[in-house]
Amino acid sequence: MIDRERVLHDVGKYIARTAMNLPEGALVSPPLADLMLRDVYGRGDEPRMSETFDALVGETDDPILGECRGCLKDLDALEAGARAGEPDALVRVATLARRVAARLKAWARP
Amino acid sequence: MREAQLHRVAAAPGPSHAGAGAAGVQVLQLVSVVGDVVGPEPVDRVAGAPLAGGEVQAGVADAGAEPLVLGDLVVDLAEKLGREDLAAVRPHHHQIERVAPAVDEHAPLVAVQRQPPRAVSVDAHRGLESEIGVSDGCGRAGMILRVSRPALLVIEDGHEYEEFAQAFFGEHYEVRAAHSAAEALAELKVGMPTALLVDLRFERAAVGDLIGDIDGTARRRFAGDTHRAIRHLKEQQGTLVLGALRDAGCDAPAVFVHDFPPRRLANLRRLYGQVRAVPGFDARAIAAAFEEGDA
Repeated sequence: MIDRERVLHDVGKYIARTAMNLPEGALVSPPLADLMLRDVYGRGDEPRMSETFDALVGETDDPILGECRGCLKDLDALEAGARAGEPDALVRVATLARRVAARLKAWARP
Repeated sequence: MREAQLHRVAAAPGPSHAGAGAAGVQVLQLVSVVGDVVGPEPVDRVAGAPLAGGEVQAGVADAGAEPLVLGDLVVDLAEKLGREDLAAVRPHHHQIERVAPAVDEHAPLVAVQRQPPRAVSVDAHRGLESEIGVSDGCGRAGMILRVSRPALLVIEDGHEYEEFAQAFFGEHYEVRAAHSAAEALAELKVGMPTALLVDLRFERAAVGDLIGDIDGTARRRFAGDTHRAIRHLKEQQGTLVLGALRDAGCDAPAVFVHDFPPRRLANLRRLYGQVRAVPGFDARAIAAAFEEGDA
């Protein structure tokens, strides 16, 4: 049994903490990029969002959760570029983070 | 968004309050232009008292005090307030200056500045406030004025809200953080916040840091199951901390980043007054919620 509120809170609420305040397609300034990377990839000993998601959701055939898992994999693949400050990677991270948040909200509160 | 505020925080230690009278006059001149005058208070009545955001208070010297001219201080304050248009209040440095109008009719009107006032700016409180102390150069202190932004108190079990608040509201608010009810109540002694940003769930909090009656909650709601009671208190801890702040006299608007059902939000408002909720970390919506009128 998936705890919807927990998934919505632990992943949906925090993954887009920064990204939801960035205009679509806009360049991400360095201070906000740092904050956004923390949202998505964690800091220090914290789990990244893809790990939190997997721990809470486990195996599932729910199409929305499957879509979110795909976005989270894409986010992980973008990490090196985003941490290097590549503008396109940062914009893509913001877009995907917003998408995961929006999809989880739709899933948890249909 | 509110402008920065002037808070008189304490008389500096010293054998006299020399300088406080002139400082009071000039601060009043300054704040009269800012348009936010509360009025002078005798030093003894305001020293050490927590001041709510938005208040402006200035100390008044006793009749025998020898005031300093604190024009440079006022200019410093104006600069910190971002009010370049207040530069007109600058008196000449190192000059004898007449100060009028008097705050107290018994206070001397002529301010003799024997030494240039020493205005020192220090990061006295987490780097977000500046204190400006002024001395007459003879070891006697005048007064200390603290220039601060309206205070936003963030209450959470981690650091996510604080980081967010610093990033998006740090320009306009002095962001302070508390991670338990005890810390939040301690922050009230530093100064009453202008607004509260409250996390609902304190999943990472240690049991010893929680407020709420664990045994009573277990008995009443969970058939004596303490573990479930603790989980419940963690899930609702933000509202319990808010209740403690309300009991302590803090009536600042509280904003939760949570998608409360309307009925639950109405109940929170009934219990705790100004409570608002924003479903996500939408900085504009949260800022608007800080500024809303009474719900």
